[in-house]
Amino acid sequence: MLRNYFKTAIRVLFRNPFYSFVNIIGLSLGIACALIVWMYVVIESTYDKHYEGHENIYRVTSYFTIEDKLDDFALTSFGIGRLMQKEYADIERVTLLQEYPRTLFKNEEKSFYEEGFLLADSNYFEVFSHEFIEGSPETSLNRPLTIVLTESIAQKFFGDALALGKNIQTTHRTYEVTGVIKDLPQNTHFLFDALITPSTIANPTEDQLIRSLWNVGSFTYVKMREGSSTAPILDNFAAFYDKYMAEMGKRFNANFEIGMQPLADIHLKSNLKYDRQQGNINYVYAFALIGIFILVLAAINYVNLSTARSALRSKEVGMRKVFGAGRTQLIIQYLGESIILTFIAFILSLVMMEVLFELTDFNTIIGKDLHIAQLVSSELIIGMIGILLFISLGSGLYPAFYLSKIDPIQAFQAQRMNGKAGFWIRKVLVSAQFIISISVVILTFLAKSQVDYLQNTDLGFTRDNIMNIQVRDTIVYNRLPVLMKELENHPGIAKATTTYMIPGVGVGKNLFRIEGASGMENQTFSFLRIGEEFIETIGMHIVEGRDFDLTNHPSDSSEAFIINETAVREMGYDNPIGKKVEWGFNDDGTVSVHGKIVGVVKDFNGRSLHQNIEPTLMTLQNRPGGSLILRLTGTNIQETLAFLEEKWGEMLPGQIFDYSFLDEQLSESYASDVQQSKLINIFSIVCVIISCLGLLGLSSFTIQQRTKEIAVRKILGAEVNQIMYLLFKEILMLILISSLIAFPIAHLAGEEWLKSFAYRIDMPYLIFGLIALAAVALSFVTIFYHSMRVAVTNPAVSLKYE
Amino acid sequence: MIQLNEISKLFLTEEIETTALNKVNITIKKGEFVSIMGPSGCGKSTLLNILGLIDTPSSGEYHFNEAPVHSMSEKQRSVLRKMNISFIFQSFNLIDELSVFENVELPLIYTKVKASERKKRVEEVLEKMNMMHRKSHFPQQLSGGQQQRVAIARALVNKPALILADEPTGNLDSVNGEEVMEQLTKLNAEGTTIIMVTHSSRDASFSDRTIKLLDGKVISENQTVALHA
Repeated sequence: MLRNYFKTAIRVLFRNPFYSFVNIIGLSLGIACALIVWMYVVIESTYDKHYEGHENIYRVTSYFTIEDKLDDFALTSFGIGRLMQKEYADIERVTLLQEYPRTLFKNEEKSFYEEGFLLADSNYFEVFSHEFIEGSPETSLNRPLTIVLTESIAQKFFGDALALGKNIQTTHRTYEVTGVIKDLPQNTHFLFDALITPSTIANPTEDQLIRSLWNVGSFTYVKMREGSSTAPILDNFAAFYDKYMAEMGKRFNANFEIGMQPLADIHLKSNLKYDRQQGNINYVYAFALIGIFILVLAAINYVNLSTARSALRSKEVGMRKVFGAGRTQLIIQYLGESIILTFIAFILSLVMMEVLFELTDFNTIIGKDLHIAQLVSSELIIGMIGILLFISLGSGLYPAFYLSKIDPIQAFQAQRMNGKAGFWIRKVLVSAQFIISISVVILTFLAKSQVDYLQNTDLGFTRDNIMNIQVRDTIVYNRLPVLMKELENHPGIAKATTTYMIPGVGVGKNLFRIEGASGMENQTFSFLRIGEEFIETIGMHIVEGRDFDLTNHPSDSSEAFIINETAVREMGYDNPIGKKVEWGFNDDGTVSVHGKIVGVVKDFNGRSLHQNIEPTLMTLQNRPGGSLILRLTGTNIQETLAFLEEKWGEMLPGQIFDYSFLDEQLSESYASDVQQSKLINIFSIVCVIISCLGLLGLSSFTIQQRTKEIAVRKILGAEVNQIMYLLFKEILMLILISSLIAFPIAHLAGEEWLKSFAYRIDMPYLIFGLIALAAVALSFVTIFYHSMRVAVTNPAVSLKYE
Repeated sequence: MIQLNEISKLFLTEEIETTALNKVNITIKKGEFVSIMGPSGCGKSTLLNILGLIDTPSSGEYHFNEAPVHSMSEKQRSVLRKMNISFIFQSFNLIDELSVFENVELPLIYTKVKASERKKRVEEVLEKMNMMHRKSHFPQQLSGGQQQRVAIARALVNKPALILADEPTGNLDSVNGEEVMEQLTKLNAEGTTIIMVTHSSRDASFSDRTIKLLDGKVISENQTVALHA
């Protein structure tokens, strides 16, 4: 019996190669996309779960309220962890991590700029578990100036030789390799290439720890005792505050609370200042939804084609019933067919995925490292089986019940049926496809427009042709004035200056005491230390007062401040120039810097456009380091670069010329948005392809069903264009109705997504209309071939066929 | 009205070449009622399709009202057909999705007759065919005889000069068949030229002349002897 079913299934496939092709390709695309989405969602939702006991590891976060304004930070002070461990017995271990700036590392033979290194303390491996290739957790990071490398960095510096015990140097320090660990999996929120211990292992006094509590700079992770909860700590934190922080808090009219984020939640759920580039749970939901949509689209194609073609198989059903087949047997037979088809489609989908992962830039585009082999992991296998069951049962059940229901007498009068049964269901399903596809395509365009807007909108300063050369060395810094003069003589360089911080790349946050309506007030401001002439170089506009000017105002070096328009508004100033600013708080509450506001710049975006412009205060940098900033004229950049490199080598021998362009650096803030937008783009194309395949199969079938009608109409005088219109009219109506349903869905989903941006585009309603028109055009193209063929066929032939 | 000279039609399939019509010469005058008879596969329907301009001959000349149809484009033939020729089929070929009224109205839509005029003419012809009371029904809701009456109404509504009927009683019982033949005779009496393909000698007896085909050739042309009252 089973053999007979199998044979029939295979023969049905081969007897109708066109429908089989449409079905299998549609299903394969659907399965491939759903699997990729599932892999993506699994990776996104399993961040940091590879760490042993991750359920007990938490990141401590900071919430400062100063003058009723709340600031949240992923960073904490370096002292809070240890003091918490002292106060709360449930905290078993504490470790601190700190970002380490991009630095030149070298050994005897090789030197590389590295930016993926982190500063860690000796407790790191007591909190986080890693597999060691060389060395051991106990002997790593246990003294100053040691380094633990990941496998690939060890390979980069030492090749296949043993790295343990060897040295890696920066300009001023030498680090001893005390361990080599396996490369980190991609799904960890603090990916690093190496961990280094600082030059001195701080063993601070309690007093030092307490004094640090109001300054953030480290990531603090705590490991809780098995079975304990964070609730008692969070509920009783007021006691901790009163004991260690209240005194200083009163002085600044400030308050402080902590948060404790479960390790596995950080990637998707944290959105705090100084968070590393994060995932976005909304994107994960969106992708999961798109994955389901694509599966539904593919299943709809199968249901539509199977039920539409039921008339062609009704005789077979009738015969089987007449000769004794029960309904259950028929259901099993037709379900079996959909399982066979799904299986073939599944094999093809694996081939598609392998090609996509290994032969295209897909992994780079989505910023993940996906491989077919990962499907073997437990979460993915469950998902894969789920997807295959959904497709084969979801798409096979209705046709199976539908076909098995056919009455034998009715079945023998096949042409009376003409596939009209299930007609409305097919219309509803095709409309569902249009609704899904139109909504997804609108949202794709919306995401793309928003990302374009982020990348191109006026930030209040120039981002094009601004070159940023990192200066991490005092020797280089001291020679900069001479170098800058030389550089400015080159026609390709319009302006040269230095700066310690760059808007959009690195902006600080500080507490200031500033003159307000009722005297001096404590206020937090975004804060930039910049070089003289930086404002002019980067194209910011002074709207009131003046720029920093050391020649005429030597005291500007420490006593002058420039604020932005938002700060003026927030402070309620009519005339901000000359208002007093104090900062540099001492332990006794006095301040070390007394200055005043000398100018106001037009508002600019100092952070990503996800956030609103903040009140910002700028002062001149008083320390070496930062960046050499060059504004290029934009003509002949290659030649200018060659000149720069030559000049750099000539004046700073032995110093590597390491530069970046500001527009590229700024784009990194939106890398995740760009990536997601690209991924949505790919999926929406697949949605459209699957829908078109379905439409192609279904229209070819319905047109075939209407051959007689078309012939009669032609005989009665219908022209080819009238026939074409007749055939297309129905789809046109479906698209119009579907668009009317898809528009509000896309609108609501789009508005929800745009809410996550402080700066956003207006809802592009024109795009809605254009996409509906495009759907009409694409549908027309899709059904054109079959329609045209039947429209130009000699009606005598069509009637004979009937 | 119709002049066929040496009309042949070949059908090519992958393996064989079939001659459906072999150098057929026929002349039909305006106002005639002609029957075409012959066994299955002799080329009757092919001849009718060529006469009706829905199929083209492989060779030979066809003049319709002295116009050389054989050298016309598809579009010209379509216009000529639309303005002059109507069809009645054995299987009625009504469009299931359209009501009786809409089926009959269809040829008028394609000849761009105004809506008010269409309504008048459709009602007129349905009245004539005694189908007015069924105008909102759909083909499946009618008996075979009624369906054929609708098909005749559809054929008449454009006031064609020529009606081509392909076994119009083939799917009907004798009472309904008789009724249809009477309608055709009546139309012919009113001046419409009718060419009818039939297997039935009785049906053929309603016509003025019978052309017999065998293997694609005309084997005889006889004046018909009336078999009916």
